[in-house]
Amino acid sequence: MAAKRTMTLNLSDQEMVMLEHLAEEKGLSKTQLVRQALRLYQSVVDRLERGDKLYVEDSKKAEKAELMVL
Amino acid sequence: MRESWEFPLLNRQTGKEELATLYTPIADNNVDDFESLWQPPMIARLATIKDHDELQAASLQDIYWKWREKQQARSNRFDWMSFAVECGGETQGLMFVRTVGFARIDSQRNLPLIYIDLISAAPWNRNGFTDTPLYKGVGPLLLGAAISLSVNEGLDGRLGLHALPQSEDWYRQQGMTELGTDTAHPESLVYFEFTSADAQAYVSST
Repeated sequence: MAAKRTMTLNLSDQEMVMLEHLAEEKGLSKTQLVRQALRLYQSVVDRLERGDKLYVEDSKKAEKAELMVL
Repeated sequence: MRESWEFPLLNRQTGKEELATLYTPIADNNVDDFESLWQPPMIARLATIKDHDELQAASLQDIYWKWREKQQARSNRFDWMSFAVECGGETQGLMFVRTVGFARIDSQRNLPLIYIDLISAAPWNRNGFTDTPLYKGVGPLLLGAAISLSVNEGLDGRLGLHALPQSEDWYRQQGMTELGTDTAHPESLVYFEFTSADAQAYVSST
């Protein structure tokens, strides 16, 4: 396993509640959730940098909407 | 930095176990082996194929997978990991996994999982390609590595993948749950998933 480093993360109360909620919902520790989020974000950024567009599709209506990512 | 682990593989021709090394990530020598050792006999075999059924039986559907291109595009990425099995001085298996995926089975829907993008054994290890396959257990070794990664990442062994038609039966035999043809997949492949319980059972049985 790659060596790990520790950092302090400053979050608002609401952000911390959301982090704890998502971690519990996904069965992950907060560290594991942040790691997953980083990977997902890198994946999105890579596609956008290649000129791709990111869409979400309504599974019931089969409608697609472009996801705006900063 | 490249990491490695050692495992025994059965050489079916000698009947003896040999020490294989599982590496992450894939290195240049592995994609070199794919192009110089795997592809030539596959291309030669393809030239003799007469129809689709024979193609599927010969286990050649991954012949043009772009391992080098993907290795270069996905290096230094956290959302991809690659693995290679080496034994007898040659690459015996290759795998790419995506570390961010989400489950589809109702019992674990939307929980994170490891998605196996590409997994392949050298053609001389395949039952369909040759009547005398060399090493036994390359596929299970790679599948086990994906399960271990899933466990280490806190994903409880959950795995997902789309199977080539030639490999569907093999994934059924491993105990993966079949969710039918995925019409959203570019090649409309059948999607399979390991639940946590399935993965635990698989590891216990191997």
